[in-house]
Amino acid sequence: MTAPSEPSTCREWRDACFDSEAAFGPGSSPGAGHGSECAACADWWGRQCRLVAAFRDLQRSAAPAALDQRLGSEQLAAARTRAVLEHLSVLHAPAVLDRLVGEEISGQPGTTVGRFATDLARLQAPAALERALADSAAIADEPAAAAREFRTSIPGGLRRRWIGAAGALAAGLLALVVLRAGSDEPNYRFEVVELDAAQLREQSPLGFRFADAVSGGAVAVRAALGESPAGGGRK
Amino acid sequence: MSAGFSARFTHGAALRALCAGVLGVCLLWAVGCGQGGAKLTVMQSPGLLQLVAKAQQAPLTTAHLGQRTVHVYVHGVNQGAHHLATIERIATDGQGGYSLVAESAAGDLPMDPIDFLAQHADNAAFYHRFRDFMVRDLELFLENYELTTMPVATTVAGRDCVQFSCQRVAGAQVAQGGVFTVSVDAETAFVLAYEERDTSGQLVAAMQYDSVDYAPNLQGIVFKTVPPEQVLDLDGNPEDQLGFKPYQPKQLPRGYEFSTARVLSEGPLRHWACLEYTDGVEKLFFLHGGSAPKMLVAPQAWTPQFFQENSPYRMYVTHVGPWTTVQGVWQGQYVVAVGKQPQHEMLELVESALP
Amino acid sequence: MYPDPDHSFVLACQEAGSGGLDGPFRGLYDRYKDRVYNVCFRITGNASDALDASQETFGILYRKIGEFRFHSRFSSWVYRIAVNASIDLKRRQSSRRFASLEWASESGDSPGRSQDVLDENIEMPMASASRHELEREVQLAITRLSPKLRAITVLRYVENLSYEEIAEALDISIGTVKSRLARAHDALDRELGPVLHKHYLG
Repeated sequence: MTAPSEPSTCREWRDACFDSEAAFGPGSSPGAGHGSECAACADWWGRQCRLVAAFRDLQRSAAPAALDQRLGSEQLAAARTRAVLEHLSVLHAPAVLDRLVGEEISGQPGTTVGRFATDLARLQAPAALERALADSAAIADEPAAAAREFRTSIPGGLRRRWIGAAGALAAGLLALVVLRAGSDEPNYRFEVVELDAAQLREQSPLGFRFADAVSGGAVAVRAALGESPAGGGRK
Repeated sequence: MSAGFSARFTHGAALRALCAGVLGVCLLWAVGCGQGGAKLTVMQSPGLLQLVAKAQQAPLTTAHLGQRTVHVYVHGVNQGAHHLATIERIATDGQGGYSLVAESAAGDLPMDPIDFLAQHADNAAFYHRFRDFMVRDLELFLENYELTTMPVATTVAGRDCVQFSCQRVAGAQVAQGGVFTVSVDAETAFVLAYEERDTSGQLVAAMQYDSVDYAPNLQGIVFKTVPPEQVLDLDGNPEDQLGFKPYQPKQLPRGYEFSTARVLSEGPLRHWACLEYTDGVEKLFFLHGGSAPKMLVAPQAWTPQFFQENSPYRMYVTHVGPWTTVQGVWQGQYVVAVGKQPQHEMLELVESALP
Repeated sequence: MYPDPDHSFVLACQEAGSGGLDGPFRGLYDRYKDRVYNVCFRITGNASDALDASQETFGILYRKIGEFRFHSRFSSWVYRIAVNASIDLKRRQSSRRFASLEWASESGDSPGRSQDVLDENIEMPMASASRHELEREVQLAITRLSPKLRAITVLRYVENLSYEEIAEALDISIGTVKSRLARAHDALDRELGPVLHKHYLG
């Protein structure tokens, strides 16, 4: 194979070299004419030959066995599922509907109650509570002594009215606390699911990197270690 | 102060005036306590107030060159605390330019050290702006933070500093973390060291300058500037900038106020509304990315479980140290919130933003 | 239209409908897995991404094979999917790199630094250290090309496809194949000229 013989400029000659698929391959030459007369183009030709040789020398590797594993029937079925999902409109029924309908048609009474009950977080008593209990045990005698003094120092009728008023106040406060607790109950329009940091990376690269940067790299450390967070388990 | 903080008192003449000021503050504090245990505020220490106010602008107006060590601690259930330390070379040119380069890293690196340093370079602008302790809004800082220790004189990297501790005021929902001990250069107002602990006293993060030079030779240093922000005009017509109407939280954690809104571009076609809030020190981000892409993840997450879990009606919460991340897809719209507030406050913020 | 060597394999898959890798799809998979993997590897630049892109490629093939009508060679179709899957993967990663949180106007400061770092764990036999170095330089140069030039370079010199096959795989004219190849050579010549001179002549 030879390069084109009638170029008008170096650029045209070089472009024309690409007309032949055999250019720069083993045994090819720039041919007579411009390619041999122009030192710059002859040098260029040599460089292209070395370039192509370097590419042809690149190692080819066999597909790793991991690819086979990834393409098991389950994954391919998932791919089909995704294809279907991709063609659906943006508004999906919420995933929780599947579970609710499943429970509904299974006809097992109590499943809904059971679900919410088991979803409730089991919280550990905070250390502060333990300390408070210890403190209250230590000073348990003090209020008792104060109560004795209170009883002996105030006349009986007045004491009963005070106790009654205090009782009413306590009941009112209790009701207020209960009402406030009721109103503070989270009522989100979405489900809340906890993920560990490694899962965060899969779910949202943006969220992962944003949190990682703002925490100075703590999120990536957590993800790399694959350990559940301290005090985790909230849901 | 602990690990890597090695504060010590000095007796130099230059400190006499400072100590006198500190003594005055002690007296004020004692008087305050005597009058019914009122909280100790920065307002009670005019010297410190001045310093904190100056600190806001110090890196923008003062050239410096320093080396500092940044510590991040991750507390796990089973393996105790993990520690990551990065030595950084930091420089400012006094005109808004900065250079932040990681020299080395040690500890529980989450990846290959070379990759870690490359990633540090990628994140340098973000670190420079958001990672370290900084009074971002003086008014909110004065409103939301109280001093927990008296200002004292100390030395960091050979410089006379004022050290104080602060945390969110009692009564507010205390942020996770957010208990700071800060050392500010008494002359330049640079924050030369800080420690952050969570409410249980565990160390979360720390930074300390090992050396600092305020008359440095800055030749050869390539400075970056914080790029001009593409401000999102929430009161104008943000749809024109974003291609969609941005969600805006209506319920913020107590003490937080809106700070800035900007457009972030993720490639040429995709824009995010990034709304930032602050309580004076902490940052809270709410991002709305418009229509969620059909495929958010790499193919390795091809599992039936993933598709079920990628429901448009779920919000995913991740806790790392004091940080809480909430993210999810709501009616095809992608939202992310990142902040140091407790989970329920972050969820309420997201909930309040959804239409 | 073409005496397609894959004709019978494709028909068998279309008739069988499904069956995963245990069915007729296995035949096509075995014929193409190395080719697909190598294309993906050279375009993405690392083994991990190549695996992801290969998986994506075969997932698409599996889903869409029923729609294939032999308007082109089956191999061209496979290459097109592999090229697009690889480029899409890099594009997504590049979007995630925004995730590196340098705001948009600063993103040009370190183009592709972290994602373009070669995976040191690539399991490839290397004859020598210098060969290793050369391979690394060549791969880096490929990775620095634009996606279009990267695709054409890989198909031409890694997969040895003809101009016509490349045109079919990328759905472009033969003239475009030639002009893109010339542009790729220009860019690669600038990048690799000194390295290749040293390796082959020095």
